[in-house]
Amino acid sequence: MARIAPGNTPKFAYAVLLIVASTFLYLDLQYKTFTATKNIFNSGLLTSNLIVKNLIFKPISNLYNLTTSKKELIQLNQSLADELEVSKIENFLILNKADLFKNNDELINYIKSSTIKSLNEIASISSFNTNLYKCCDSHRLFLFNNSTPFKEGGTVINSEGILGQITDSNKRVSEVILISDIKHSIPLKTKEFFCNANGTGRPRILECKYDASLWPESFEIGQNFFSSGLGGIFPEGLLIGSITSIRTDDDNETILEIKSIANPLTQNHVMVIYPNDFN
Amino acid sequence: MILTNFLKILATIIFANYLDSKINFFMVDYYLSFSLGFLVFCFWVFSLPNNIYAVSSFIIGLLIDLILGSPFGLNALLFTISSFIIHSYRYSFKIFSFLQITIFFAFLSMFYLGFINLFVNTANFSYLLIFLSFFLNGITWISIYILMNKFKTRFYR
Repeated sequence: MARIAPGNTPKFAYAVLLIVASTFLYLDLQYKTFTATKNIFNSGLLTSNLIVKNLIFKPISNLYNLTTSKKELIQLNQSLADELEVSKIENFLILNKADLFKNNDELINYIKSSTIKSLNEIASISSFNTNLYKCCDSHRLFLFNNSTPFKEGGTVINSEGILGQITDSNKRVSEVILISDIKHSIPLKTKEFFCNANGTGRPRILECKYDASLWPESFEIGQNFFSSGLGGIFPEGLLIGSITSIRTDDDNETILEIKSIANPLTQNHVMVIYPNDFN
Repeated sequence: MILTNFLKILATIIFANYLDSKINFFMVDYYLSFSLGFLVFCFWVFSLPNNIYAVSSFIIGLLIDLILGSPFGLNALLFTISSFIIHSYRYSFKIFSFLQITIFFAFLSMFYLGFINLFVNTANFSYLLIFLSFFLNGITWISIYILMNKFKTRFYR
C-alpha cells in the first residue's frame, strides 16, 4: 500500500473553501437562501436557450426546410400536436367540470365582473429535469408564465389528471411541485377512508400511512383513491390513482402505495386552474 | 491557468454532465448511475495537478450546482474535497498501476454518488445503486481517460 507522499497541496485554501461550501449548503437546505439566485440563473439560461434556438438553429433548420419543401408540413405537424395536447387537457376539464368547480354560477359571475378572462390557463412546460424526476426526491417542473405570473396554489393538471400545484413564481417562470415530490402531501379519500398521501420521491408513487388497529379498513390492489378536497388546494372528487401495493412497516403501520394516473412525462402543455378561488 | 483553458475544462465537464442527465434517465431503472461529469473533473485534476487547485474546483462545483439545480454548495463541497484527495495522492499515483488508479477513481465516484444521493434522494437511498455504480464508473473511467487524453493533446495548450 502506497503511503501519502509529501506534496505542496495548499491545505489552508482547501479548509477555507470547504467551510464556505458547507455554509452555502447549510443555508440553501435550511433557509433556501439561494433560491432567488438559482431562479435568476435558470431564467437567464432559458432566455439564452430560446435566443440561441431562434437566432441560430431555427434559421439553419428553416433553410434546410426550404430546400426540402417540408417547412410548412413540419410547422403544421407541430401546431396540430400542440393543439391536440391542449384539446386533450380541455376535454379533461370539461369531463371533470362538476368536480373541479363546485359553484359554476358564482364562477361565471366572478369572471364577468373581474378582469380575469379565464380561470384556467394553458401553460407550456419551460423545463423539467427528468433525470432528477427519476432519480431523486425533488420532483419539480417549471412553466413559462403567460401574460402574468401564475398564482401560488394554482392546481396544475394535464389531460390525465392532477400533476401538482404552483409553489413559486417570478416574472418569467413558475415552479410546480409535483404530487410525487417528497415534500408534497395531498389529502385523499376512498369511500369512508381518508388519508394524507405523501410523495415518495419515486415517479408517480404516493404513500398513505395509517394505523390498522385504529382504523380497521380493508383495501385491495387496484382500488381507486380520489382527492378529498380537505387541504383546500385541490378540488374534491378527482381520481388521483389506484393502489399498487399494501405492506406493513416496522411500527406496525399499514402503508398503501398509490400510483398516480397523471404522468408528467407525456405532454408539453398543462393547465393551471384556480378552483378554490370560486367555491 | 489561463481563462481559455479554464473554459475548455469547464465546457467538457458541463458536456459530460449533460450526457449524464440524458443517460441516467434510463439507467436509474436498472440501479445504475453514471457520474461522467465528476469523472471528467477528476481526470482534469489528475492530469493537471498544478493547474486545478481549491479555488478552481470550488468555482466549477458552484457552476455545476447552478446548472443542475442541486442544493447550492453540494457539488462545490464534493469537488473541493475530491480535488484535495487527488492532490494528496498526486505523487503516489506515479507508482500506482493503471488498475489501481482506476479502482481509486471508481471509489471516489462511488463516494461522490453516495453523498449526492444522501442529500437529494434521502427517501429512496439505494445501496445497490451505489455498489453497482462502482463497477460502472470504474469501466467508464478507462474510456474517459483514453478519450480525454486525446482531447487534451488535441485542444489543451
